[in-house]
Amino acid sequence: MLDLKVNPSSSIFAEQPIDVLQEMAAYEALWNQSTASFKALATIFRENPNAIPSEFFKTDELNAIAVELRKHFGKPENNKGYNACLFRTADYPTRLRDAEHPIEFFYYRGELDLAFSPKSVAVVGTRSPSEEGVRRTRKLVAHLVNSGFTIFSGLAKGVDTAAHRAAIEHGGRTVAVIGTPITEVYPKENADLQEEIANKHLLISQVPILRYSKQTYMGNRFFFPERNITMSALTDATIIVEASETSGTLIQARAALKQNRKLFILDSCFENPTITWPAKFAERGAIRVRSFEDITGHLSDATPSRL
Amino acid sequence: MRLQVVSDAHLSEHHHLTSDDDCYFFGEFTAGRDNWTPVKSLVHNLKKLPGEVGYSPYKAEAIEKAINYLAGIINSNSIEKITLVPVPPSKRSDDPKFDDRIWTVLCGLQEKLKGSYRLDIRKLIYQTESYQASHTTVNRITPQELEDIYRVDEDSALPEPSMIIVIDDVLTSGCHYRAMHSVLSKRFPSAKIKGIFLARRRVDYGAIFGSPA
Repeated sequence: MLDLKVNPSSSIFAEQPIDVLQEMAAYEALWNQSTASFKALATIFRENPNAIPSEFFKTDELNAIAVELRKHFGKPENNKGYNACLFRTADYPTRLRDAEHPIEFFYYRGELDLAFSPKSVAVVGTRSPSEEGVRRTRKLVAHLVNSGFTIFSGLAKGVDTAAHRAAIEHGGRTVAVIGTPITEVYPKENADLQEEIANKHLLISQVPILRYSKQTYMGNRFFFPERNITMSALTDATIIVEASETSGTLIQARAALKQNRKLFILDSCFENPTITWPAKFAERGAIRVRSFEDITGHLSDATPSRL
Repeated sequence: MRLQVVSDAHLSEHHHLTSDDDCYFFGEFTAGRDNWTPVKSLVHNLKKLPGEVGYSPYKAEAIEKAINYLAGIINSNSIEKITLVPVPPSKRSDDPKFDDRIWTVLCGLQEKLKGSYRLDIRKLIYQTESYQASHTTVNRITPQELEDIYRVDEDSALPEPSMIIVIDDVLTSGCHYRAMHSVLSKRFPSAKIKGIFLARRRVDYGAIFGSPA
C-alpha cells in the first residue's frame, strides 16, 4: 500500500511544483553570493533537504536576474534550445548524488537521454597529448562505440577533442561536460564540435553564467576540475589515456574512485618513467589496461541494462 | 519528487494552451533516437500495444511507475477534494487499437491507496467516435472537433466535482486538454480544473530560454 506525503497547505500538491526558469535564476542568484562554491551549495541543500533554489529568494530578485540572464541566451531567432535539469524532478540523473558535493542543477543542450546511457565511459587526458596518445584515444573510442558505450569527455583540446571526434566519426553517442557556461564557446577552435554535440548529442554545463561573466580567468579556472567530478559521477567508468603529474585529469581519477566508479589507466601511462601517479592509483584500485578486454571484462557485469 | 509547471515560456510548443491554463508535467519528451530518460522510457513503454515488442513486461512496469509518480505528488490533505479524470483514448472501446492506459493507471492508484484514502477517479468524459491519435498524423484534430465528439458521462457526474485534475500521458499541442477543459467547465462551472501530464513534448529542443521577456 502506498502512503502519501502531507503538505499542511491547501495545495493539491505534496510539494510546490517547480518552474524551471525560476530555478535557473535562483541557481544563478546562489552563485552571485561571494561565498558560493559547489561545496557551499551542496551544504546548503544537505542542511535543507527538501529545498529548491528558488525558496531562498524573493520573486522580484529572481525576475531581475532572469532579465540579466536572457541577455546571455540571445534573441529567439538565434535560439539554441537551452534547457536545465533540476534535482527532485523526475529526469534528474540520480547518479550525480554519488559526488561528494552533488550538483542540484545543470544546464544542457541536446538529448538528455544520453545522461542516462545504459553503457557509458569517460575518456579523458591531457590537453597536449603525444601523437601516439591521440592514436590510442581514437582506437579506444572506436572499440567502445562498437560495444555500445556513450563517450563522455570534457571538450578540451587534446585527448578530449580526439575522443569526441572519434565517437562521432564512428556513429556513436557523445556527451561533453564542459567547464565553461553553456552559452560560451570554449576553446574557440572547438566551436563547430561544441555545436555539433549540442545539436545531435548532449552538452552539459554546471557553470553559473552570470558569475562566470563577472570574474576573471583566475576565478573561472576552478570550474574545470569541478566538471570532471560531475563527468565521473555521470558515467560507469573513467579511462585515462595520457596525463602529466599535475594534470586536471587526476581530479577525475580521484573522484571516480571516491564515487565507486571503475578507473582505467592505459598501460602506456605506467611505462612512462617521468610520472608516478599511475602506480599510486593502481594501488588504490585503478585497473591497468593492456587490452580492450581489460575494460569490457570489468564493465560487463557492472553495467546492468537501465533501459 | 516535484512536478514542473507548464509556464508561459512553454506555450509556443503547446499552442492550444493559454496563460490561464494550469498544467504540470513530470519530464520532457523529445523525438530523438533513444528513450532513456526516466520519463521518456515510462511514456514509451506505457504506449505499447499488445503484440508490440516489449509489451510484456514493460507495459506493466510503466503502469506501476506512473502510479508511483502520481502518488508521489499528491498532498494527502487534499486528496479527498480532488477528482482525477482521464483524457479518453483516441480510439473507441470497440476499436482493436483501443488503449485505456491512463484509466488503468488511475484504477491502480485508487487500489493502492484503498484503506488509507478515498480517491475519486471518474471517466467524466467519453467520446462518441475514434480519430487518428495526434502523434501519428499530420492533419491534427482541432479542440473544437474534439469538443464535438466529447460528452459528459451524466451517470458519473454526481457528486459535482470541485477540483478536477485532467490526466494524460503526453502534452502535445494542448488540444485534448483544451477540449476537456471546455466541456468540463461548461458542465461544472464552479469546478477548478488543472492538467497533469507524464510528459510534455519538446519540439526541436524547444525555445524556452531563447525568448526575451
